[in-house]
Amino acid sequence: MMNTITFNSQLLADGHLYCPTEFTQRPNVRFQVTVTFEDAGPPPENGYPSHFFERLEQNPHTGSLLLAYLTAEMSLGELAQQINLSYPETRDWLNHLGIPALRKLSPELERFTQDNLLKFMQQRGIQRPQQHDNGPGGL
Amino acid sequence: MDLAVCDTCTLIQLRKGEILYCLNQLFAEVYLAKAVVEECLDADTRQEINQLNHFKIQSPRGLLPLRLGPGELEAISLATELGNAVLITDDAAAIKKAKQQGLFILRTHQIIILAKLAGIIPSAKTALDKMKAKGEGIQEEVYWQILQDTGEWSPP
Repeated sequence: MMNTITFNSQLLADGHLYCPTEFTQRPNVRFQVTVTFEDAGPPPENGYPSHFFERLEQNPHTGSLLLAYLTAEMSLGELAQQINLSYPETRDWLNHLGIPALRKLSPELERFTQDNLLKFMQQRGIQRPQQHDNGPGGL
Repeated sequence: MDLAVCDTCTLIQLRKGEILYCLNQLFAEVYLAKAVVEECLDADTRQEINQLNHFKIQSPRGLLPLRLGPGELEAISLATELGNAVLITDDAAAIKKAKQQGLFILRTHQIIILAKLAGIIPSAKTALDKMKAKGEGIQEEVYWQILQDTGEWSPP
């Protein structure tokens, strides 16, 4: 009898996907992987040949580098050096992977930069729009 | 806070949105570290930087002992040397390290918000849509938040 179980996995530091041991130890187990990500917009203006980023995505170290970037342990400039791409190429590669450059950061960094924005606006006398005085989350 | 030091990511993003000029109107002087200019490889960006003569291209006298890419490191070191300068960057690791140095930091989307609210640009949406059309990744949540913060969109 064929059983199907669905579970959420995540990318490990070495670039592999996590799987509970109860499944890894069973014989005749087959996996189907569904990857979901946010649409990060169209491909770069000039595009890249399909094989351009292929070697990176096959590299077992790529997962740990991406994790370091996503957890703010590594900057984009440093990531570019590690993978031997130029800065703009690295941005385009991240975008190609569904990691947008303009995105929400950790709550701590969001709070810090949001406080700075409010201080800056106050100092310059820049007013927030009236209609959103009671709006959620924004300024 | 009349001085600003702009990092590579913001420079690329604002140029794609065709609103690079807004930096010169928000700040009396905008500094670009030499390594930042070198990271923007395309000739058009370099030409635009040279045409907007408010940009001052300068290397820091010394580099802080931080593990970052060359552009981010020079930008943070330069902002620290200048003192009372706003660092503009969108890189999480750079923000984290600049915060530890006590720097005042703004992000790219906040520059767009400020430029719109100060009447420097007519529409944040136009700039964001130009960025997207040129392949710039913008998280949907951030996109709508900017429009909300600039009064260009209200949640239903």
